Amino acid sequence: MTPREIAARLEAAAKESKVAVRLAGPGESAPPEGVRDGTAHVAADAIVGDSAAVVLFGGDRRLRPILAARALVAHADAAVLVAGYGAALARFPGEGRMIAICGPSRTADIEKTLVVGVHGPHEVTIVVYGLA
Amino acid sequence: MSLPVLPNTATRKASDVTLAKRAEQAAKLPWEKLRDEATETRRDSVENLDALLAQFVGNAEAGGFRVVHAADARAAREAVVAELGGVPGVVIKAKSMVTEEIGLRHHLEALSWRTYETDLGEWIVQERNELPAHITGPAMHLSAAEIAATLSKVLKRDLPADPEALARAATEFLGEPLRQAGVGISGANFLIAETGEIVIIENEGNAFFCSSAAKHVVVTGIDKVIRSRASLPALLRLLTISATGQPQTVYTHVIGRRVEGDADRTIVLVDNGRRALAASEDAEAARCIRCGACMVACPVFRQASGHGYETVYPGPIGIVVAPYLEPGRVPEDAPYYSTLCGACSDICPVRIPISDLIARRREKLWREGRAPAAVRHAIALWKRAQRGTPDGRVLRPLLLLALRSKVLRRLAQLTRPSGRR
Repeated sequence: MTPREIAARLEAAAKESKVAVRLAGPGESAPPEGVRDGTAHVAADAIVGDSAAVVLFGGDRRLRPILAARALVAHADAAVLVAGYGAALARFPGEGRMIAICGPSRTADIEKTLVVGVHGPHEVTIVVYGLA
Repeated sequence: MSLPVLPNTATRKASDVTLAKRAEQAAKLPWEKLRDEATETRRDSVENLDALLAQFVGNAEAGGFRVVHAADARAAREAVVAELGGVPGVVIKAKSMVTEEIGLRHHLEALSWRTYETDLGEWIVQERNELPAHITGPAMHLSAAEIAATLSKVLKRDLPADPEALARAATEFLGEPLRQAGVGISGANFLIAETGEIVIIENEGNAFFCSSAAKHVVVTGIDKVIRSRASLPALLRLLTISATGQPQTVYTHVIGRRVEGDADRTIVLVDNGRRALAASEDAEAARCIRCGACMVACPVFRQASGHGYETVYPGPIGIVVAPYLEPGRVPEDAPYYSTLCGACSDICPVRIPISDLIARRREKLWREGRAPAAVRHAIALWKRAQRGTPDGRVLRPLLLLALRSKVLRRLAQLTRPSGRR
């Protein structure tokens, strides 16, 4: 599948996963990683088209700060778009942790009523570069 | 028989929601193919348990995990305490049925560790001093009003019977220990032999906190081992959809080789009857991936909720595995907590013939003369009613009338499961 085909699937999956997706404009570049004003900016190691999951590799030092952020913005080059979870897992070098984040945290533990935003980011956005 | 039949409305409603969402998601996938694949993966796990475990342990230790083997519940509790160190403090826990099975939280609390269940449903049942009513939906037996009454008492303020307000209040309360605790305990959903990696799935973010605390202790059953990463996507799909009806969980963690700054991690591998199960006539049940689908599909569970079974692992699969994993808790007549309708076998994502395994346990009880007195008397009466003798001809319409009336149900409603530990 081409990155454009995966991006089309990503947009469909994003609705179900409550993830916002946008294509970066020409000349737009990703900001450096870090948590600023309650928003964690990360460079995605993979984006799963089937589920709109943001996949990150790394140690706790890189990943744990995400939990303190209200919003997560994953900046993704078109080259990191993959169709399924298996393809993302195949890219994981095995050092530290691979985390797949599929939308904002949630619970349905009370009467199966969905409550979005428990611990960790309450909003997740994916910005895709190189496809505009 | 001790299983009460008081209908638990909350359990039935929650089960219906899960089943509907599950069916919707399964229909989008080559579901039967995924089941075949996962069944083979788990069959391999059971048949090659010791070899895969040895491979997992070697790779996990090479990757910087400390691995401790625990033969039984007591050894597992002691192993965790040894890992935590001497001075009791605050421990945060992610959801883990193995820790329920070994009674870990109560043990830690007795040693003065302030222990927080941080999954919302688990925390609610912790505060009510109850067992989880379902392995993935611990508080599914409770209405919002019942939860509001519990949390209002705990948080010392009036909370409305509104799921969102209750969840927000709980999140606020649990946020501080989650951020500050130096020790986190979690289970694991799978252990990958070829890489030594552990896999944890969750929705709330609490397991992310627990698994990235300065000290992370993973307490898990030896049966969670799978051969390779290649099997994981199918297993995760089946587990998540079967458990909750979601296409995937919010967070999927695969924790591999330790890098600078990572938590100090120990894995406590718990046997506690698992090898015996894998070597028994019930070995197929060792394939279980703990999704709980057999529970929500079971007409008995839907009426009685998990507490009716008195075991940590309730429902159809619990009837089969609990005698191995928690033999002291299992009521002798547990195999009769089933209609043998086969719904559990039909829905099981790894094709465990649960209903057949229950039927075999029931036959064994019957052959050994240990079937419940109520069952023996009922069958004796029915046999009498089938005879053409005068008393049989009188008995038969009376029995049919009794079965159709609400009298038996009313009598059964005199007892209700408390779910207390």
